[in-house]
Amino acid sequence: MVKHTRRVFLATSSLATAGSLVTLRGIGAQPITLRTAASHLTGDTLLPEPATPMDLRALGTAAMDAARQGGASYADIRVAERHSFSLYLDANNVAPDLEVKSTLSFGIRVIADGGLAFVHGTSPTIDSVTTAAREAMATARGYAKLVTKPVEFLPLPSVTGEWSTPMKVDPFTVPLEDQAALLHAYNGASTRVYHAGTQGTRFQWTRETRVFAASNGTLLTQQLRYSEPMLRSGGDWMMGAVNFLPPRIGYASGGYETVMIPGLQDDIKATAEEVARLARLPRRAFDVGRYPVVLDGATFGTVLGTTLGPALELDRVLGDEADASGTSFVSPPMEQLGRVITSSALTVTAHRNPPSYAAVKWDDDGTEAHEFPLVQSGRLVDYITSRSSAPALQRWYEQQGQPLRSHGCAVAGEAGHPVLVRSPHLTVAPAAQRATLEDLYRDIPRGLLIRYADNVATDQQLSSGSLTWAGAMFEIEKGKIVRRIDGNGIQFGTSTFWKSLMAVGDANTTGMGTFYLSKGQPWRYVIRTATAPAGFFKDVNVISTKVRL
Amino acid sequence: MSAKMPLRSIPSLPNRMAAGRPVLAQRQVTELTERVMGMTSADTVYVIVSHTARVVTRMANGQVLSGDDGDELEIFIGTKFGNRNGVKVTTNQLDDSSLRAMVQHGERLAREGIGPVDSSVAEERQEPDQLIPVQLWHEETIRAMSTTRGTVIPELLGAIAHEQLRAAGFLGIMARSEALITKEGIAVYSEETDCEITVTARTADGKSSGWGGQAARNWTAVKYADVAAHAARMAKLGVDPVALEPGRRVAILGAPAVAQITRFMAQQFNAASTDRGMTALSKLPYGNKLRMRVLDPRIDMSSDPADADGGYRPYFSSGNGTKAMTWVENGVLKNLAYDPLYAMVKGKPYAEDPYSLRIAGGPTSVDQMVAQCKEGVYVNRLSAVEMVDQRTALMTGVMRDGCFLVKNGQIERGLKNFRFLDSPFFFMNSIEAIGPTARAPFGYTPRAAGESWFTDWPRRPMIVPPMMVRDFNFNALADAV
Repeated sequence: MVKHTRRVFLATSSLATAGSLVTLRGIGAQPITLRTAASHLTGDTLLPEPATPMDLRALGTAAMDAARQGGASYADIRVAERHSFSLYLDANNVAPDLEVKSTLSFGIRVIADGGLAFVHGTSPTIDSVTTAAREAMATARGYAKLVTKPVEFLPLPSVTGEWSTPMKVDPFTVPLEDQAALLHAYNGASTRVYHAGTQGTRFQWTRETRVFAASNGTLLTQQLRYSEPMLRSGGDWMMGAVNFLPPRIGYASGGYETVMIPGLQDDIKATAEEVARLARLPRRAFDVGRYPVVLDGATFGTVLGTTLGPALELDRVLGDEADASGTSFVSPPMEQLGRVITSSALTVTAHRNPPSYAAVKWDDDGTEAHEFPLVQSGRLVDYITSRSSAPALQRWYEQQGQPLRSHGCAVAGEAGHPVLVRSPHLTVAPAAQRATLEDLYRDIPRGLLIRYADNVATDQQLSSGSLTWAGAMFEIEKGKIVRRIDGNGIQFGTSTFWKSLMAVGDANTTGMGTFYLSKGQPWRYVIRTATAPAGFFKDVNVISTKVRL
Repeated sequence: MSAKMPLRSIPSLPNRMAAGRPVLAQRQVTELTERVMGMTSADTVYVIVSHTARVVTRMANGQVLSGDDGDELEIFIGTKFGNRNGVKVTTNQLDDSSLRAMVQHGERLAREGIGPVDSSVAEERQEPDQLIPVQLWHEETIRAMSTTRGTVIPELLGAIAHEQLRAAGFLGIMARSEALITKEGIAVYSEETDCEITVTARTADGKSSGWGGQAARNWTAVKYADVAAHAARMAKLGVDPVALEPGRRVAILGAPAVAQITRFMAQQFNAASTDRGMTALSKLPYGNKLRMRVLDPRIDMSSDPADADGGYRPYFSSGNGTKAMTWVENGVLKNLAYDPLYAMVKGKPYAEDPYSLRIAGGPTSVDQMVAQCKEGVYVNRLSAVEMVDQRTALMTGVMRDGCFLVKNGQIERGLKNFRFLDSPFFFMNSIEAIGPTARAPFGYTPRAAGESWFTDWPRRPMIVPPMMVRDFNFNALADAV
């Protein structure tokens, strides 16, 4: 692991303003010197001493002992301590806002007589977790009377192991003063560009020690690290006209190296210059109708990750979410597998590898996660699965000569949350031949280019979508960007939309969509990411969102 | 165990439930806030301790899926020295060593800071207010936490199975106690109970789905047999749905559909956003529409912490008291919500965005609306509603679990679902009839883009009527069932 030093930081920063002497446009003429009194403060100094993995494992094994003694046919527990802190610097502020959080929680699942119960808590004592295990036993037995198809998990061998998210620089050891200086520098890289700005910059760091213990003796310890930077450059941004994300930075697993990226300030400046230029384009509403639409990589990733991703979560497909987030249009699974469900231009793989935000070694079922294909040249070849859902695909795997196994997508967003099937990181294969973003719209006589959309409204089966918010939408005329579009969006049937994908860009057009996915009742959120190249879609329904009151 | 492990902890949920008090008592949460206050010497201190317990059962595919029982403790400490930027600290550990560590580390950061003094930060208003008395805690709901599973769940599953339908559902019961104190002398406490039950009934072929729900502070107000019966009726009426051309049509919106739309109204009443031209209540080029008619004259919108059908804690997040507010009266905008800073700037009384909304009801039941309707669409419920444009309150969303063609005063048949694109500032100006008001269930309703309100389960009460409106914009077909 690289020790963070001011020298390292300066060596990786290309602008002279990145030290502790920072000038802010619009605040005042005098340079502002950051206070030195707090130079020793770090995330580590703000947070309590972390609980040792041994303590957490003791809680886990005690709960499993209680469940076994109570006669559970299966039980598992996730127990975790999570520390996080964030610094947010508004473009007009001098000092960042600070938030610090420390929590300890656990969640226990027990199967007894075929009934499944889940109990969670925040009190990290042996008495508390063993009582919770016994409570879950009693509840599961009560539920068993109301179960016609008993719950079963794919068996796993007993495993013991430890894993840590790869990390070069621990953000909890980087002085807050230096982090604030970097926030200033990144804000400044946008605000110094004429007609550009920023909505503020945030670093948010999370470290979590998560222990998984199961009644078969499995005991896994993972040290997980998350980086959630928020960084956006806006042109004419007071009107919300054009907002882009600089490349190479986004939600990830890892350490301080995820934000201290050599040359990033130059990228931010270039992004700010681009948005300032694009913000000056004339603006008008587009005619409604069907047009070719090009999505940049970030938007492609977001649309994929919020439509097709959740639609392939197998618990949802099997009806577990019927009263909550809904079911899926890609159903029933044995009729859908092997079918062409999208354009042949789409190939999607799924994984939980670093540095993706979803990275873990073992999921919250205790299954080792692995990379797997979901869609191959438009053909559906698999679903997103867990130990309890994967058996529904047994016949498919037998036909394919593949072993029946979970893909390691069981997720409890926090240790005290229920375990649900969640989409892992999705990756769309780019074109092998050169195909830039401009190449994708070069032959379009009239159409739309959508960039940096981060939200799609869907429905209870993910069968339709509506995208009305984006960093910017542009009118393409005779292969060129000619105007900004104001007051339009696209609306689509998911299946038709993915079949209308005509071409994807090359690897240089790849961007990352970042989005929240909710599920369960009460609903819980997870953050997910998907990387994709730019894409060209034909005949997309463009709607008007401009109304006059 | 190392010294890190707590010296003090909360007894387990079963033990607390057996004692009839699933969450910490007023004395306990108040003592905790005072303990934390005693650990800090910051100039400005704000402490909230909130303890929530819940018992949840989920159903799917005609059987129990799982539960989700447990409790959550949140201790939030905000500290500030002078005008220096404040530091916010959150923990869920109540042993002395954890608490002291978090408080003192936060205080150290607040004292030493990592930036210069920001003199632009104004002090927030901190005088204590007299709170409106409210009754949000019901012992019947507490008792139901222990007693409902064995009786209610089998009945619900049995009722749906009896109709040859497949049941899914949710039964959630919760209790919460919360204390808030500030160094300036605010000390408030609230306790509440809430429950919600929802049932989805689907046909075996998955082509028709019905839904019913009820939510209440007091479990005894929940008629769960009615919930199952309504879900089954919707599913059976909706078999073999046909597609109807999208377009503007008369819509009969059930109360759960109205609630899904009006949940976005809270931020429409935000004065600062409105004065900046960011809501449908903005008057362009600047200002707001106070004292102007913005909705049908039959529409009254209000919020009251002591509302008998809902109600909510009688103080805002700052600890300042919240009083009953009338937002819209006879369709005229009467008030906006001024946050502390903006209230100071504008010389207005302080009021946060409404925690809850009541829309005054009318005399026409849904059955009577159907009987009066020559041709229209009855919408049982909406799902995945999102704001498209705050400036016009234009929203999109999808019909779910009950969408029917109404013709010549009768429900004629099930329809394929639609997506809608409309604003309440249009269709609540085209009202044909309003029904009786009751607290509406939400079911699964996660936070939507642009929604800034409290969005965890249970959502704040929304007390709204069903409505029959003209020219509702069903702008596309949706294949989702």
